[in-house]
Amino acid sequence: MKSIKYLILSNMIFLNMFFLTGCWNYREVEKLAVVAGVAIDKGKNNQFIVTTEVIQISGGRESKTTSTYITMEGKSIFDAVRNQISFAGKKLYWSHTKVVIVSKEIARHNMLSVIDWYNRDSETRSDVNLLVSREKTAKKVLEQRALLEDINSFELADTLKNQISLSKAPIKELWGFINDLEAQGIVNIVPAVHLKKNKNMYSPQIMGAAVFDNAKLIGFLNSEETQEVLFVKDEVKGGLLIDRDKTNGLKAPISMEIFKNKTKIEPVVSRNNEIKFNIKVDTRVDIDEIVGNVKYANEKVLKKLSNNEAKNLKNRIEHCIKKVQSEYGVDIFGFGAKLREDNPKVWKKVASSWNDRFKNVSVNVSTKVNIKGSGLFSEPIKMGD
Amino acid sequence: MRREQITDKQAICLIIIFYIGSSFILGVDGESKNDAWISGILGMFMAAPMLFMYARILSLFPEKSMFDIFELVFGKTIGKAFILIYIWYSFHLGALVIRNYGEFINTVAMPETPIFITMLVLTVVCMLAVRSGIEVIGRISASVLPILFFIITTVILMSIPKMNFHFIKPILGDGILPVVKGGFSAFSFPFAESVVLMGGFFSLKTKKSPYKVYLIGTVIAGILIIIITLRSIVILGETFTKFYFPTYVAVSMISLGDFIQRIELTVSVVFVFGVFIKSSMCLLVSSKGIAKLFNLQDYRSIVIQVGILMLYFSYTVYDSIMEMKGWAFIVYPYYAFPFQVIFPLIIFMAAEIKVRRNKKGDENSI
Amino acid sequence: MIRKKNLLDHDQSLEQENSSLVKSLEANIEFFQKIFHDNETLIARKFQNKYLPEAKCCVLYFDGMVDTQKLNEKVIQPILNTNLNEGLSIQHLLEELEFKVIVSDKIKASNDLNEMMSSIMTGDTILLLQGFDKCLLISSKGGPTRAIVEPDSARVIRGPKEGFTESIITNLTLIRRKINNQNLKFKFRELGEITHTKICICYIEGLALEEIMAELEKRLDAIKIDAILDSGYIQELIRDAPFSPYETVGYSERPDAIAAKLLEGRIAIVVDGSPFVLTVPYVLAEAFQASEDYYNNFIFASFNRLLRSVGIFIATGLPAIYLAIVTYHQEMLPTPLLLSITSSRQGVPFPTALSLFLMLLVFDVIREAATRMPTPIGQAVNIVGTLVLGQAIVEAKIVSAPVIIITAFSGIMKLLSPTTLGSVIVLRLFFLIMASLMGIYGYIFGMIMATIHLMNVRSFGVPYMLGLTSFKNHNGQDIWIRAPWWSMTLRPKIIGVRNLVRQSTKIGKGSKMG
Repeated sequence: MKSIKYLILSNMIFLNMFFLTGCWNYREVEKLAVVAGVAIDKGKNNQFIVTTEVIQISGGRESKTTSTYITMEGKSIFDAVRNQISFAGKKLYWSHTKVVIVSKEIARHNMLSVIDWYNRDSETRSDVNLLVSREKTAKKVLEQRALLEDINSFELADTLKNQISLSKAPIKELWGFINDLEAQGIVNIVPAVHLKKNKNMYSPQIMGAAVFDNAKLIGFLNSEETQEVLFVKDEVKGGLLIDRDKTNGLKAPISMEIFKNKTKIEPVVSRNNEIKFNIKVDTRVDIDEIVGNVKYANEKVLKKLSNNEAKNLKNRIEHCIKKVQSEYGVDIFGFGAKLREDNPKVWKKVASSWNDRFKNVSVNVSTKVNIKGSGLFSEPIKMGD
Repeated sequence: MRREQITDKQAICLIIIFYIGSSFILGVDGESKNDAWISGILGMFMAAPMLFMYARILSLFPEKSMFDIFELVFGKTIGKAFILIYIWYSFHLGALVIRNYGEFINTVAMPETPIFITMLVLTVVCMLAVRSGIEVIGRISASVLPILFFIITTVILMSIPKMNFHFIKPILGDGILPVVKGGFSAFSFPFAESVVLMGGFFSLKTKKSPYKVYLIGTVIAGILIIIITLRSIVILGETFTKFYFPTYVAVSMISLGDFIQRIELTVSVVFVFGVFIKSSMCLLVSSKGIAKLFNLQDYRSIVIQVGILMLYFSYTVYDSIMEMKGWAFIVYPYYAFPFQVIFPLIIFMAAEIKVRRNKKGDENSI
Repeated sequence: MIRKKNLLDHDQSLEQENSSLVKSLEANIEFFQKIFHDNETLIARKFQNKYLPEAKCCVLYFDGMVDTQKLNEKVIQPILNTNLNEGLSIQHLLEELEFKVIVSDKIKASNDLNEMMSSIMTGDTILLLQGFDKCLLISSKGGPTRAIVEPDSARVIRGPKEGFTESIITNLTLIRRKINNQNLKFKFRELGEITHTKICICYIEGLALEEIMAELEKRLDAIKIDAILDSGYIQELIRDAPFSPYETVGYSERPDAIAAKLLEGRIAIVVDGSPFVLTVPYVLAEAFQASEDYYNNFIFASFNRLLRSVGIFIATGLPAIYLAIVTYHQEMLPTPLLLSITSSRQGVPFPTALSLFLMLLVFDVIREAATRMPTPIGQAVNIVGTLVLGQAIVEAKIVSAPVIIITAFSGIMKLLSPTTLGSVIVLRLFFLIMASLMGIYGYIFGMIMATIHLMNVRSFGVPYMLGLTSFKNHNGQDIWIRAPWWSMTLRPKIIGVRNLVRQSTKIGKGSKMG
């Protein structure tokens, strides 16, 4: 009798556990509105406009993945995000989000208002890619149809990921933005995206970078400049070096593919507290395109080629640093951070006035280009006339 | 009844998991930013003499737990007072650990599930383990530790591409003071918390075992904690002190190819096991203490009651997660100081005198 | 309970009122017929000697239980045809028959009623002789038995193909043939107050631990049950942790497996009428060992063994982990996988937890139905169950395809080790429930609970998890892997502690290398 009582009791506890607790965090996959990407714009009256690309799946044997866009306004970002429930019915699911596109306007105003919610909330993940739209609104970029994939945001993420063999835009994840924001002696650059016409339709192209002063956008760099900045920041992992200097007697451009790059920045503090930076760039390249009769099998020619290339690169970098110093006046290269790492005592003295100092800090660039190969051909293609 | 006994290996595994229990969740300290790993090393070295002391006390009275030693050394009345003090400490510590775990699950994984339920499940499992005895806890630790090691090493290897070693620099950029402060915090949490284990290690095999267990265990766990802290630093940079759960966030950054991504759940397995062992030990020790206090035959009869009290206490001990972090890194080192340093010192001296006197007495009688 | 008492009382009263035989043959025959009244399989064949008509005999036996050819040729024929007048003393005719006439390997004069009863019931023949109040019990066990065939429960490709049968004597013979050693001991006893089933405790003296032996005998003594129809009865009556889903007493149908366990210091219990021989103590690691492991190349065998243990782990955990990830931790899924699972879930009305639960039940239903049916029908059940049902249920969008895959995977995995089948099924449901409540954390807590339980279980004083946590030396070399024979020089500790040395030197390796 007693055991039956226990049995009934434990059964009741068990069943209650099932019925009362089952719904807390249990959610079925098809009930999720998976967000692939999000674009944030500024609306009227200081409101935020949040556009999300939500993945739509039609089930069945021939399942198809498409996406739809939900746009909503709100007083804050989170308000706008939550307001989307009134639209879509489902709560948005953020774990698989790949990109966050921020419009120029918002970035000019204050980036922090965007990223704080995204980093803080536990539903979202801070390892998404951050992009700044050069178009009028970020929404416009997000709402374009993708070229090769089904979902635009995924294509944007893929484009970013494969940037390493182009090196014409930086890669910035959201948490990295915060990291650099908080760090002393460095400011953020974020990849920029714009629309480009391709076969009767516009598709997003990621090129160049947006320059920030703390959390405010102050300008854009073009793709060439971005590559130069990346060279200084030691973030080049691929890409091309192109030599088309006609003065060297070249008939056609030579392109070299970068395989490996190592950049070292050495802060040098002289006795009278003059701060100087030595930048050493060491690049390994392969010849990939060479037109004309350059006999590169010859060591002398090879040396000349690489010296030319190194000089070229040096000029470009120096020019870029000058431009940044004069035009933007913010330390996107992280010179200050480097100084702080290597020489915290000196940094403490100059920290407060670093932005001013950066503008006239002198830089000594030395470059080295090593040509290691020439593709599959051992000799240039000759025209047999 | 046969005497419970755990081998040295099991005890070492147990103490390692005990250390990494909640310090993996919370990280070692919040003061010294990217020098936290130095604080970890400092904390370990600061803890070394204390650990020697604990081991010495234990080895002076083999096969006796902390509570037996109190009565042997101080006699009934003062002994009972000491017992009461350490019941409180282990009870409180257990509650804090359970709460740490609850806040962790509640914040990162299941915001909608009531925190009470997640903590209840943990407490029930702890009660089961404690009722099975120290032997079973020891054997579980020994069998689980290799798995935990495997997970930790794999995750560290996978996070290598995300590491930025220049985050470590500048070393001692803000001077030595924050690091020392952090070291003190690391000393009290987690290293000197092992004072609680004095109540659990009544079942070691030989007289030398306490030294071996405390030393090897602390060194391995210390290295592990330092490596994990370093890992968090080189992935997250200085911002890592801003997170409540830096280790978890650091692991969430890992992505290898398109397939291995968002694997932070695997480290929460480590957290859960660590917290389980740690709170089980706290529960065991406080139950043992209460049994000793009231001269009970077997502590097993009060495990469930103590466990439920612990659960309720942990439910009410903090109001918010902000309070939890503030307590763990700012208040706790000072609060725990008497329990970890002053009282053990008193006990140690009294025990030495007592043992010497006894020896003399024995010689005289012969 | 009451009925049993009465029966036994009846037996005893019989014995008391007529405890011994009388000198009259007819009276004796009637006495037996009275005992076995209404039992027409009792045959009483009367005959007398050609030369000595006073020598009236009667053989009593149960039809079908004796070897009739043997009875005719070796008992009845000699008594009929031998000239009993010559050189035999009539006064001691019974002894003379016993010693000089009857051709039988086992024969005994007796007037103990209990002995007579048990003999005739196990297939011996009683020979009654006019003028004697004793009888001869002549061994004539016969009748139909099953031939020695390869056991269905543990097939091998490599290794001996004989299996135990239902006859205890045959089974003991099979064991005896494997271990030719005087230290192999057999201790008989009878259990079952109605069935009087013979059981035999079999062990190697000097290897088996005395404490375990004493404990086993104590537990066997405590059994007071009316019937033992299979070793399963004893298995459940002597086991530790009676409520655990895990087996704490091992069993096997293979003589080589039993011999190997005896050689590791275990004790075997052979039960008459059951081809399954029990072994104690039993530890979890044995569930993953198959006898073929020891005959195959050790690398291959180790691979198989790892497969088995990992398979069981997956079989118990896979549905729970799937459920946890798909309904609690979707961020763990790679994006393409999330999308494909979502697309398969479109339009499915039941929650994943429920459909997993149901599909696991369905799988077990199919398995159960197919085992009970004759082979052709069983195959039909399998086809209908797996192909038709599985296909249709997905097409009809009642269950999503990944759930079917998970169920099938887990269902096949659990068959890797047949002995753990019961515990796997129970544990799997438990984990599933835990995971449906708390996601992966529920699963982990379920695992911890299961581990605590396993750590608590002991089989005859030996920890159930013995060896599973060690990877070194003689304790661990036959657990997760099967070490090569030349390196297994010592028996596993604790069980084989009385005589640890298995090989005196590493002969195999040495000679190979030399």
